[in-house]
Amino acid sequence: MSEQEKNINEEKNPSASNMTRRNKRRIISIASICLVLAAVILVNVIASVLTDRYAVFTTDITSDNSFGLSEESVKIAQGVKKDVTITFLTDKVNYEAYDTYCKQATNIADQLKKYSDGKISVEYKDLLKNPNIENEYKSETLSVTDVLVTCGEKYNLLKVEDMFNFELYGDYQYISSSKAESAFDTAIVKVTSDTETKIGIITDNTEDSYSTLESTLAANNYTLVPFSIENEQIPDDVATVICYAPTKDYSKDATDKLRKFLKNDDKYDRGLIFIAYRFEIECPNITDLLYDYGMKLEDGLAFETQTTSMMTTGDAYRNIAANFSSTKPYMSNYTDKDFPVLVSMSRAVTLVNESTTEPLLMFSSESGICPYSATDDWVWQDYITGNVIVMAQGAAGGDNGISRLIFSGSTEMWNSLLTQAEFTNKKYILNILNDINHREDTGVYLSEKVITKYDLSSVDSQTKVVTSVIIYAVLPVLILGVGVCVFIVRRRK
Amino acid sequence: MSAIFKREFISYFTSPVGYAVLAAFTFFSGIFMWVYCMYPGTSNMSGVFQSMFFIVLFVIPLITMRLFAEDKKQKTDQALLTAPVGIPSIVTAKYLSALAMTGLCLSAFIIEGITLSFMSHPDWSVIIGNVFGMALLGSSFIAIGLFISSLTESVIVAGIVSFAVNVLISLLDTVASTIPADFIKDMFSSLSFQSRYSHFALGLFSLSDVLYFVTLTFFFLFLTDRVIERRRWA
Repeated sequence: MSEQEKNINEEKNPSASNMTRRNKRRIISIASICLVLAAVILVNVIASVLTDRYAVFTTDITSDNSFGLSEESVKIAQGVKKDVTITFLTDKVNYEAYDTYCKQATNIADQLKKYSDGKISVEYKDLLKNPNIENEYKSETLSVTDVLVTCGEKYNLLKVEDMFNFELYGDYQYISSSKAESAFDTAIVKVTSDTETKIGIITDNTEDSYSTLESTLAANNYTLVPFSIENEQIPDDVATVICYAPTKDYSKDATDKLRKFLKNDDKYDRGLIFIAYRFEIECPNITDLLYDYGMKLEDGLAFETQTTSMMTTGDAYRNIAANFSSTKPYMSNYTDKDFPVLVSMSRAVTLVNESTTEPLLMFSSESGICPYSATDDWVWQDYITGNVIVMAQGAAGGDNGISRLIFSGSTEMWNSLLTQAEFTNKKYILNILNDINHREDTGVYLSEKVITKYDLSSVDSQTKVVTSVIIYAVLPVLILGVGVCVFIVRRRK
Repeated sequence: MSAIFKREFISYFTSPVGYAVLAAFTFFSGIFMWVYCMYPGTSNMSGVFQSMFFIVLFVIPLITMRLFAEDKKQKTDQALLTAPVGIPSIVTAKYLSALAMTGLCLSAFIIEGITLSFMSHPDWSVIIGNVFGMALLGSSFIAIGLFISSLTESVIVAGIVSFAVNVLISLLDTVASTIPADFIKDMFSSLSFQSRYSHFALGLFSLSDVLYFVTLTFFFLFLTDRVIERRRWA
């Protein structure tokens, strides 16, 4: 139909012409809506994919990078070569609903995934809806708050106490800080590592528990092998032996075995960690062994008088040993070189051969040694010697390698105090073991993240109440007052 | 366009709505500040922002409900539609006036942040980021409210429906947790306002969250434009 014929038709039937125009407009309108909707969906899908895959599209604007990854974690994620799955045993919504710290944990897992170039995946599997998970991990007691980090057959179960630090407020327990990043990193390193290192631990005359030490080491691919130095040979496959707080002296044969172990047929490259029992024992053979490595066991417990170095004011025997050796061995991965180690009820040692020995941990210049023979009326001021050594190492060896005998005066430092998050006992001890065993692929200990800092607790409550009342009562009333005034003025007009 | 913007913005303060909304917003943000900051003794305002999400959910429909519905009811829309100004300009002007009103409400957070600064050192980057995030969230709520307001001439209906739609989209992640199919669950979760906004409240800015709110706003403004356009030619 020609243009002329069309115009004639429109003139004859104007309503039909309007209908056509309206339909045209409607079709154009619907088409444009569909087009815009498609564009919106496309943009969002692309943005989601990019954000999901690349960490660069998410920015943590908190001043202390609470939700971001540290450089160490980024390196670990980028270095993962095997497929690792982080499985939260509940839905994401439910897990994040527990606490802000849980949201932080899921965010850290997501970021590890983003940096891993597809090697790390994050899953949410509700334990209650997937009972087969429990069948898969029969030896474990699983809970909906747990996180499983798996790589092939290897796995590491992270319980809430591995992920967060808790504090009590009355009867209420709340999360005070997060160690989720360290927990994920350590778990990933553990499940992807092919190295399993054995450490011998002497069980003769040992009364103190070492369960925390054992679990800490297990989480870092170390296996403790208990054995009797009196009745057995030192296992062939261990390069490190721990003498854990013997309450009696070892026999001459036993200490000779240890000497031979350290000498290693002149190949050296071995480690012996002697952790002293806190009470006085007659131990001439152990004393001789320590003396061979340049250390003399003192007959007393180290005490501290400098209050800033005390864990609790007034407790002279539970102290912060921040006074490290000048060469700072075993601290290569410390970002803060003064980050303290907590030492409790520690025997002291002195160095008799400074060319082969060095102090590792010392108390302050105002510390001393309380002799076992001290009576109630002892004058502590008379016993202050300063810089009391509570941990030291002696070395022997040659061109082939060096063996180290490390003395530590505190049993608690190696067991119960490993759980003290604000101190670096765990990191320090692992550094020692990693160094002796030439391991680099073990635990990662980053500083805990605190999202909610209670920085207003020092402000007096009256100021807080008055300020709040001004904001939630006075201001709204003022706004409403202005509104009423405007209303009255307008009505009068 | 600026004339329409001025007219709409001023109209909030010539009626009780503007004052009521501002007072309600200040009241609730103040209460949450007491509950989440002053009482426990922290300058971390994340709890305040997370809780204010639900207040914004209620408040924005109050701001948007009369934008087009009132004009339609009063028949003043005829004048607007025949005015020498394009429909996108009308929609944008009304949207901006509601956004400005929301911005005024959000200034309560700045006042609270300044108050906290006298007592401690609040994380200003998080506060500013949250205000921006809430502005984005508010922007989407406004666009939805504007669209619904353009569909009806009843102010009350516009308000209630806007609120219902906002609640529905906001709580999609809660609905998602009950769905067994992972694909649908993920899709619902990613559409939820609450899960999108919670990242801002924590101090996390992601491209997809920002684009989600921006594109959603654009889409509903476009729909509003289409509705008004249709009415102009009807």
